[in-house]
Amino acid sequence: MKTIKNRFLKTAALLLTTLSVGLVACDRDPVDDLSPEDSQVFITNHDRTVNFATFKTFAIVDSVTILSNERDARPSATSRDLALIARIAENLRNRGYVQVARTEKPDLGLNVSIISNTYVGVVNNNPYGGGYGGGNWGGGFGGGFYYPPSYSYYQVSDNYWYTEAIDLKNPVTGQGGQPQLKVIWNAEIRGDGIFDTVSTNRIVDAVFAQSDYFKTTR
Amino acid sequence: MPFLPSRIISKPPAKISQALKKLLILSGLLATLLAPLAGWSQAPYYQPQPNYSAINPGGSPYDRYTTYQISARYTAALPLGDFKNYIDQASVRGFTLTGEWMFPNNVSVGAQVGYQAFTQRLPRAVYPLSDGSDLSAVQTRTFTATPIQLIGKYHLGPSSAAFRPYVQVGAGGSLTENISYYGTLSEGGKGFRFAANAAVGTRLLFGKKGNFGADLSVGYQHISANFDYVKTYSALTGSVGVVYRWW
Repeated sequence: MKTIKNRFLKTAALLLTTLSVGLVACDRDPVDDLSPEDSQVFITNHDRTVNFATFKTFAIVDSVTILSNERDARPSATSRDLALIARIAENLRNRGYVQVARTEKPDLGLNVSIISNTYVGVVNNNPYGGGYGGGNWGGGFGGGFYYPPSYSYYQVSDNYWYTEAIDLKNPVTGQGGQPQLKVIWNAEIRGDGIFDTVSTNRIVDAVFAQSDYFKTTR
Repeated sequence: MPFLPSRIISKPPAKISQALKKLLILSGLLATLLAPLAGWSQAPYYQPQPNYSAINPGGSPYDRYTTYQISARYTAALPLGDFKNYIDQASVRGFTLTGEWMFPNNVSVGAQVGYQAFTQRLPRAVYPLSDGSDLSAVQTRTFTATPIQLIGKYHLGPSSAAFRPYVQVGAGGSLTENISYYGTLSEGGKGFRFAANAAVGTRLLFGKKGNFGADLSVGYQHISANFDYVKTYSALTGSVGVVYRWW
């Protein structure tokens, strides 16, 4: 009686072990084979009530602001940062806008930032485990199955380019009667390799390519 | 940042206590249904004799007792129906593990655990998001199922036939995950969903008195996925693998 039961149990346990090993082996990251270029994501949005042709001039920041959830905002003006700013300005000039100094009352203001956030979390590596233990199969089998607790800590750094166009021409009245400026366009550039100098021109051109409404006539 | 998309963010795996609860219920059901069939508590137990064939010249224990069979099979799957609109490439990453009680009367019941992973990559395209954003990315579509099912089979022919075809039906649940990656950003869901299968196949026994054999089968898998991307999963499956039986 006991022998057969144990034999079957051993087989069942073996099956389950094989299964979990197999599952782990098969569960590879589906996007770890993406090239840096293919991993890049460009997200743009704009205010659909705005006619971008009503703006004629723009000014752009002279350095990049690094915004972080762990530190105060700080400026950065590496050659890479300056190249990115220059490429944004070039794209806008190609779309018909005239670049002016910030003191010359531009219609549009362009901000350029790097968002750099860090998150720490904990994950249970065995989310399905334990399901067999409590009183059902485990109970009938004496000891049940033992799943060692398995936790990992992970840290996620989320770093990406963020740029926005602000309507300086038509300030609106916000809460409490304070004048406010409206963001009428923004773009996020995410993915691998976005902070490499070789990518700069391509990633900036990409966000303008998908923002064909962002243009004016001289 | 007023226009940051809210739907697309990278997140740690969600807790699935709901799925755990269902798993518990399923394993309980499994134990309750199958324990008496296996005769775990009260059925008489056959004690193997040293010279069995001498005292039982005409019979095989596989014809006279409830015996056991396990199999491990490599499984490939071809998308069907609505699921095909999401992923149309075949999955070559899958396996099926089965454990059965073989009754002398051509019927067997057991449990089956499977795994099937689908991936399909789409070239870069611009996708409109619900918040009005335009997102340009290379999309990687994935669907992963781990069905855990109770199965029943009807076998044709004698228990030790070299070629013993069968028909199979099964139902249970599946740990299911459906994620679309945009670049490395992910969107999707996971959960425990209803699953069912039907199959025809055959066992090819290596030797009349042997324990080992091969198993070939083709089947149909269904999962009521009900995710944002995949509502119903259905696929044509093909399996090949090894069988071990004992008593």
